[in-house]
Amino acid sequence: MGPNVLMWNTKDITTAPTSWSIIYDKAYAGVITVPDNPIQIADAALYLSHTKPELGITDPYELTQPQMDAVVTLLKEQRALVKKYWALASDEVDLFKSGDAHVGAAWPYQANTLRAAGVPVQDIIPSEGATGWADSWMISTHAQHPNCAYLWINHVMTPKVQAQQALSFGETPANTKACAEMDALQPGSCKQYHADASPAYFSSIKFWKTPVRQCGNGQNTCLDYSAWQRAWQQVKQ
Amino acid sequence: MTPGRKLLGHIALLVPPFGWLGIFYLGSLSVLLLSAFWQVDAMSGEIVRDWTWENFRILFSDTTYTVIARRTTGIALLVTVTDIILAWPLAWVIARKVGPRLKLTLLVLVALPLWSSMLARIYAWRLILGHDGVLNWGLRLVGLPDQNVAFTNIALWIVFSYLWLPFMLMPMVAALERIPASLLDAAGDQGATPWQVFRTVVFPLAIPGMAAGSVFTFAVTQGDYVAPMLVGGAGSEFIGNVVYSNVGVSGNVPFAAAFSLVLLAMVAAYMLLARRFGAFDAQ
Amino acid sequence: MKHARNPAADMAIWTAAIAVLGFLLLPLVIVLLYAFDASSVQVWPIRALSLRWFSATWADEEVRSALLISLEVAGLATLLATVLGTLAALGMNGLSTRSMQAGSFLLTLPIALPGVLTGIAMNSFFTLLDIPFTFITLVIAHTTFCMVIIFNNVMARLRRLPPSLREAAQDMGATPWRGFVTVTLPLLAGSVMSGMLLAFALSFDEVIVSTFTAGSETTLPLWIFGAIRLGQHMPEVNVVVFAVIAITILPIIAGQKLAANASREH
Repeated sequence: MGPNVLMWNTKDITTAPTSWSIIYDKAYAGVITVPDNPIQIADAALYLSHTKPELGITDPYELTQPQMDAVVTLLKEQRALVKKYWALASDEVDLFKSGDAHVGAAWPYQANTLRAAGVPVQDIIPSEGATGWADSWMISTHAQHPNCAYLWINHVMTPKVQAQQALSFGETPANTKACAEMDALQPGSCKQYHADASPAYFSSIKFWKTPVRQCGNGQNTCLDYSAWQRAWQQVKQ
Repeated sequence: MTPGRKLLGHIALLVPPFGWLGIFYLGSLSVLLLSAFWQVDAMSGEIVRDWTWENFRILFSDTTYTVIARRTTGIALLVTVTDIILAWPLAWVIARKVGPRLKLTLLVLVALPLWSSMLARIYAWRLILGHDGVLNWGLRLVGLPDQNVAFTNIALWIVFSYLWLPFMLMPMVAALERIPASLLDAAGDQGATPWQVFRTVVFPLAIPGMAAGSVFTFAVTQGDYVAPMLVGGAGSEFIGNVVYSNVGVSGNVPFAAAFSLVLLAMVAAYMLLARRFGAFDAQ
Repeated sequence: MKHARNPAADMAIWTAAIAVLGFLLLPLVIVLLYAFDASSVQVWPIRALSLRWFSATWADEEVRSALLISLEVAGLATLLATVLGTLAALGMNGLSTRSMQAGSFLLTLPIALPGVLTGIAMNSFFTLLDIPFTFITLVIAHTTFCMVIIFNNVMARLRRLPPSLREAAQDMGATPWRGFVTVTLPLLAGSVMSGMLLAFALSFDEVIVSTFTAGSETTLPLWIFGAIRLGQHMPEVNVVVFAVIAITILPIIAGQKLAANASREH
């Protein structure tokens, strides 16, 4: 698991940004990149929940039609500033490497890859907080050898494998015991990848969840994921 | 041979190829046509086989899709015109200006890109057009300002024109080769200026070649999604990208089918137009 | 040539032709150049040269199996397309212009219609019939769009053959079949061969239709697409392109020679 961070090139942008506002800022037109994914709507919703509290957005994954309209308006304005919507991590790495993008929404993985390639980038969780992702393993109901699948899952949950996986992708391991293994492989990495972080850190991240019609407040006025997909297509055009 | 037996012979030869086409291709197109009128259940993700116009209603009422269709067609037309213009000098040189040895070399050079991964060549354009790429490196060398064409529709236009140029060149070379030298000489003898010869003799005779080439440049550009994905930017969505993401990401095959039928209609209309200019009068 | 030459116009045409050729070859040159790049991250200009990616690529199991699948698919599809395309040309030769145009139009559809259309259509077709996506569906799809290449080549050749040739053979007592085998077929061989090379190239590099019909099979272009999108094996992609060109340059030259000969024998 990990957060969706704000990443920028420190050579092109010398004053470190602290807010997501930079990716909606006309001053950076043509050098911004954000993910090509309907769930990106949640990032804009999170930002609006701070800048436009009158919209009443409490959970970025539970949006009513008027709230969605406001988010889509913001994202359509942003489109004019976006160099490219990145579909895969490699797209964003290329964009920063070639100097076509200076700032954007990223995963810690891209920041690690770029730093390893000698591109001066920095990444943070801005003051508004961040959305985040938590990947999990699933077993198909049609699996022919479910016991093998369970053995596999047990294997990937061991601290050692978790540590290797975390370092390779630049993510936070689910197993907190991986911390020592990580530091053994790469000193300081446990702290760097938040494997020892407090519960407060994790609660600052709004983890991805599938938007459904039921809002948290018991009403059925929220938009489901297919509506999010249509809205995202309208944003991208 | 009696005419009856002769006809039978033709039919016997034609059954396997057109049987194959009929089953696998026309069969597929029919399924596509049908599924465009189906829908996907929002909850289960299963395809519901009830007859509905819903997909087309969304396509024609939401301006998003009109914008995307217009962009796709516009760039396809622009690429076609660009390729016709670019193909002329090289096709003329290959067809009429060089000896057999040099001609072979040039034809091999034109065919060479077709043998090397299209994807790798598209990717190479990222290295050329990127902010710190070959183009700007060259511009800086001669003291010109940087260009920011990477990940724009201009980049897309350049890359598409590049990709399909050999498909325009080949039929044009074939068409220009066929013009008898005596015809050009005769026109020259009658006192026509080179420009008049070009306008009244060469150009009309090259039209079938240009038409044949344009079927590829237009149709292939219209249906692509790879180049927009790799070198396009924000605002480079093509019909193909919407189709691709509806099949892959959202699992909404019926909607993808409906949009690709719009594509089919546009390309078919273009093919019929090109047929009138002799695009299918096999060389 | 009796009419006056215009050196300035000639010069302009040659300059333009060379510029266009440069445009056509520049990206390829870059791909070939980067096969020797020492770095795994591609940046212009190249900082250091190395041959290390050649050995890395050669050792890569995924590349080898993708190459093998591509060769098999392209080979099989080309053979099937050759039989079907030649039959179509022979069967249509001598029919009215109208039916010939219609037939040619139909055969051109799978290649002229956008790949995404052919791809999703075949995908829906096989899904509806519950046919799993395997090597076989891939070959079926590739055969369908390769047919027209062979057909066009053979048709062009047939139209240049004087019908008197076969009639003469039959007048001398040969059966239609013998006349076909001994007279027509040898004359068609060159155009069939050059068509086969083109069909093979087309299939070997196809991405879009393959994406929709390959299932879990990975052809070389699909592997390349994956490598580009994941951004982790770019140097290997360049090496693969380099190797493919090095291996195919001779067949390409042979193919162009065949095509040139075929068009000269009026």
